[in-house]
Amino acid sequence: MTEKTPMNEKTTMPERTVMNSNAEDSYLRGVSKRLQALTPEQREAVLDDVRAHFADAADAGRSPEQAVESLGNPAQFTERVRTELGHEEGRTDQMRRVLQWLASGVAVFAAMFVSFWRPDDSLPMPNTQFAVHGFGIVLLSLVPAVIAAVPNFASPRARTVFTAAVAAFLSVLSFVFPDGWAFAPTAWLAWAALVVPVIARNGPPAIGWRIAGGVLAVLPMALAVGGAIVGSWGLELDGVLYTAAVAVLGVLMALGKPWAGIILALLGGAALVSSALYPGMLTSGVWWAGGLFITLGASQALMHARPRKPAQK
Amino acid sequence: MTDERIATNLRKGVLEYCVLALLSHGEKYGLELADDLTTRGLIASEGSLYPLLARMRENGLVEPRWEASGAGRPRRYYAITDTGTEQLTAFTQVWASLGAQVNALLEGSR
Repeated sequence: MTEKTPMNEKTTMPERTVMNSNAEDSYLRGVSKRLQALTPEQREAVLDDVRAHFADAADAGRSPEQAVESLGNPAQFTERVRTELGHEEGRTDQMRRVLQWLASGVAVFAAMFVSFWRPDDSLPMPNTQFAVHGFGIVLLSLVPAVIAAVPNFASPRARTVFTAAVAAFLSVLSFVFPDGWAFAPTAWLAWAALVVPVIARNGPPAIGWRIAGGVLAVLPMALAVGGAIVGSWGLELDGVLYTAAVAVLGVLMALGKPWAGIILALLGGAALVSSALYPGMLTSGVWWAGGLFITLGASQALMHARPRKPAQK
Repeated sequence: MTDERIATNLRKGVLEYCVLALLSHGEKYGLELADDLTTRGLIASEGSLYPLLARMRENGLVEPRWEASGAGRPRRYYAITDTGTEQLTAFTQVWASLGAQVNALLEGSR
């Protein structure tokens, strides 16, 4: 029996007394990389378990390679950990489902907009689609919303294929049909439903994705400021404040703050409503900016959402 | 369903209580715990023990702690918590009742 000396730290790895082997370091890196979906505390506790396993194995006369063999490769091991802690498929599938329903919701709003509110100068007065064509056009406009929701009813095996097909179909629709531009945000959300679960499969997105999201969020405002500078339109105080707020949110998103994504998505929703209620020269621009903010904000918030505590099994 | 599949399904349900039962006799380090479970045919390798311990730790059933061990690397011991002891007591009662019912049924079906 070896002599036991209690240490000060109860749950964190104390200073290492022996150099780790390459196999151990490589294994720990592989595990850490795949457990980004866990909280830092959860991840560190699992890494401590692995470190302790290598130490136990060395004491028992096993080589680091034998210790690795008994754990399984990092991908298998971390999959078991994620499953036990409730971070398996369900987490990324939930992201996909939320984005898909959001796409459907935005499509319903777009359908109401193009049917009831948007004046169409090509139509005789009163010049809204509903006033001219009746209720049938409302039902037709709701088709993209129904299509956007289809992957949520597909079997788990067919879901990815359905999600990709729906995103592609909505993209084509937004280009081809006269009022399709209003459904572009729906198509973006459908693409996000396909891509976000892949980006976030191992946890919060890498820094490159975060920066790309932040830059994309700021892009519409940069265009608005650019247009104002060259004199295409004026920039009021509220526009300046809105631009500054989005710029700050873009930076915070790049820093990985989930609530920044939620606020941006809400701002996007406000932009859609504003664009629908006060149609003007920049209607489609404001509409697209709103759709982009909802897509980026919701994606960012979902990818960074803190993992839940595992349920008692 | 093969014998092995039946055993695997049953093991899944009882494994964490077996870990609690082993720890109720005193704290153990990972490999020691794994060896006990492997000898009893409850797990195939350490690869399934640590993920289970991670969940049990999250649920407050076990608590790990580091201890220096002579000249070697520190050792990580796992101990049962009060919550873990309560769960084990509850499981023991359920198992006794359920086991008796299942045994009675199986004996009656012969």
